[in-house]
Amino acid sequence: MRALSRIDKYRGGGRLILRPETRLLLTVAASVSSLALGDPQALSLLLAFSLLYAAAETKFKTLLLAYAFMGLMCALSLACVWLLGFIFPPMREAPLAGAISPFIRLGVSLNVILPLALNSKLTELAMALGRLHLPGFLRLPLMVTIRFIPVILNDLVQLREAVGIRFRGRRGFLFWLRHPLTWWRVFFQPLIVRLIRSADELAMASELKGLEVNTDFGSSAEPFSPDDRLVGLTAALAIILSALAEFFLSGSGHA
Amino acid sequence: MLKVESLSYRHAHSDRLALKDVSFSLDEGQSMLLAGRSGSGKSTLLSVLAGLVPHFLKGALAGRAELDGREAGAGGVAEWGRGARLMLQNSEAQFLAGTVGEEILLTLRCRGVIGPEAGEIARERLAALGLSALKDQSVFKLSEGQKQKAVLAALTALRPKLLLLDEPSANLDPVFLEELKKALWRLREDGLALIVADHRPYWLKGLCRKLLVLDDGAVAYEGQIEDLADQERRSRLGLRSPDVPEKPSLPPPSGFRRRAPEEEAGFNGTDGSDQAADSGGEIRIENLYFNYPGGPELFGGLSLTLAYGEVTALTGPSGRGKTTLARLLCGLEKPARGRITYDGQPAGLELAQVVLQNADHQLYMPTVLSEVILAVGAGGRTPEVEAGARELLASFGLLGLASRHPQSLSGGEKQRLVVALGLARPTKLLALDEPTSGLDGQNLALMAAQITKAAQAGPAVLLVTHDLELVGLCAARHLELFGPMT
Repeated sequence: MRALSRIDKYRGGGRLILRPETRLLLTVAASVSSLALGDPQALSLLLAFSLLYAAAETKFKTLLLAYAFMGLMCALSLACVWLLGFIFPPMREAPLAGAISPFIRLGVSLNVILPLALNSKLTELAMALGRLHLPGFLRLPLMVTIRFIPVILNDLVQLREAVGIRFRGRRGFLFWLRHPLTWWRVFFQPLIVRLIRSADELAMASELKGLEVNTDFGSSAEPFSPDDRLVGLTAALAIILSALAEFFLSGSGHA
Repeated sequence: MLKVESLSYRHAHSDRLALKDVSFSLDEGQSMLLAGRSGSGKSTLLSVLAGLVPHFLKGALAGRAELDGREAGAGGVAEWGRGARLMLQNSEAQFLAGTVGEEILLTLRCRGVIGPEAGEIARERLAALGLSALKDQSVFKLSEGQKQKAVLAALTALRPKLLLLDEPSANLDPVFLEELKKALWRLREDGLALIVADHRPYWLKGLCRKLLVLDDGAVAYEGQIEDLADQERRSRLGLRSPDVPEKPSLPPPSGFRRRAPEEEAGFNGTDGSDQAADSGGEIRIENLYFNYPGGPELFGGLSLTLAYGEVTALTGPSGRGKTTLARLLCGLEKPARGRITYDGQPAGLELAQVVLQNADHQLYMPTVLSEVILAVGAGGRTPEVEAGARELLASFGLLGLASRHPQSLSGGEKQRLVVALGLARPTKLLALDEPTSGLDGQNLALMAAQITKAAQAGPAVLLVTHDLELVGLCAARHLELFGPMT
């Protein structure tokens, strides 16, 4: 069971043999670095390295689909900015660098989250979180969050079907566009209620299982593989190079 | 072993006592049925005994609950859980690992048991519950019965003294119920004490001897499970019958026949005559075959007719295609071969009303009344529509809740509401998927009466259910599916 897959249908490539801790740490390191960096060229370097990692760990088609979706989202937000420019002209004169950096950060996050979600089993991630010796108040919510993913996907499938039955004949895109309040009520309200209920049940199950008192998830049975070391070193190199690029190219060294 | 003395509990932010002065005791190896109407406090009592109060559920607790001299919840939920374990109604919610084997290992790891000892215990538990072959199976791909057994295996891995089960029969078919009963029997033989909160007493006969009935949070009756044979007592306490026939003795739908041999097709029922199949205007299934991608072929050339004004019950083990057949009849799925027609027209969602199992996904509006008005559809909120909606709510005992938010109702109230929504518009077929899984005796009788009344008004009603008591109360015909797993 993959973290992002209710029915194993999005299985990724997973050509590298990595421990879940490696994927988790890479995700955190890349996200923090992309937040710290501000120069688009430095961020692009980080994006390139993270893309190499994603390409090695994710099926090409899945990666392409994810990028297409991200591209659509970026295009929509750029269109909104352009439209807002008519109301607030200074927005049209803002430097491109300021506008492009958030999108590069989004790309970096996508590149590290996709391999984590598609190639890690729920249990592996949960155990890895335990082994990272995070404090209980961080570990428990994170484990429940990971376990939450299949619950959300299952709820979405059931909700779509229930709405299809109840609103038969009124399901077209235009119907929902004309009735945004109904759309909110029909899709989001039941989903939010279900999620709150599921979160409560999962939290109760975690308490009953004794996760809050567990302090020993043991050390990993497997040592870090050569792939783990290679990816770790490359990631460190990428972050250092990006930081240097930020320092020299922006000239301010504010990162 | 377990002593409960004058236990009272009030939920946080509530003025009402959820438990009032509850007292009882239970010895090692004893088992007890905890019965009562929906909302009578059964689940709350189990939560207290599982140690969730006051650590997880806040509120005011008075009185004492002791297990071997230790007070309930002492040392926190997890520490208390070494002695008393709770199986929640939604068994899937209790899985935190990916596979059956990993779930048991994770449970043990949380209690500090690791290495070869944990592996040995996990193997023993899997074997004891007949799950060895499913060790590496994803927990999300298990049937409902398998999920419950997997949860049981994990809960009993460290040999607790008391096992608490909340509505274990709600989603189980009679075959899995029997298996669960056997598993619980073996645990009881090992000295485990059991408290089972359930609306269906029939499957617990022989397993539970003691009976404790709650009503509005207080003990309304304490005795033996055999005492439920008294119908007057049952009606007074709102309970279900302890005597339900193993198989309904009802005729199959008219025109029932199948091409494949009976064992292959997976049906129980005597072939009807072709003459019956050709009679009148009806909903007709002809030579039906279906399969999900990569799945086995189902229904083996099934033919049958659903007559208008009649309730047909569809029963059988989980995962054998009951819901699939209902979906085909409503046009939610297309047959691989064969056809389904309503008076000669192809089946379609516009001709049918279908009520799905999970009520949460089917409620959208800010009040119960507006939910029914939305379901009525055409015409909007006219005085006539509103009067009709109120009448419908009254017939399901929900009129007093008309101004409540639908998502704030209890599980049983939501179940009644979604069935009422299914009846809000005229239709040719009404398909109900497990409409009574969490209903007490009083609401079961009400639901059965409304289903019968709905059928009398015209549509064919298809009842997909494991609830044999409901079948006995309102079905005119019965078909049992036991083919390959979907």
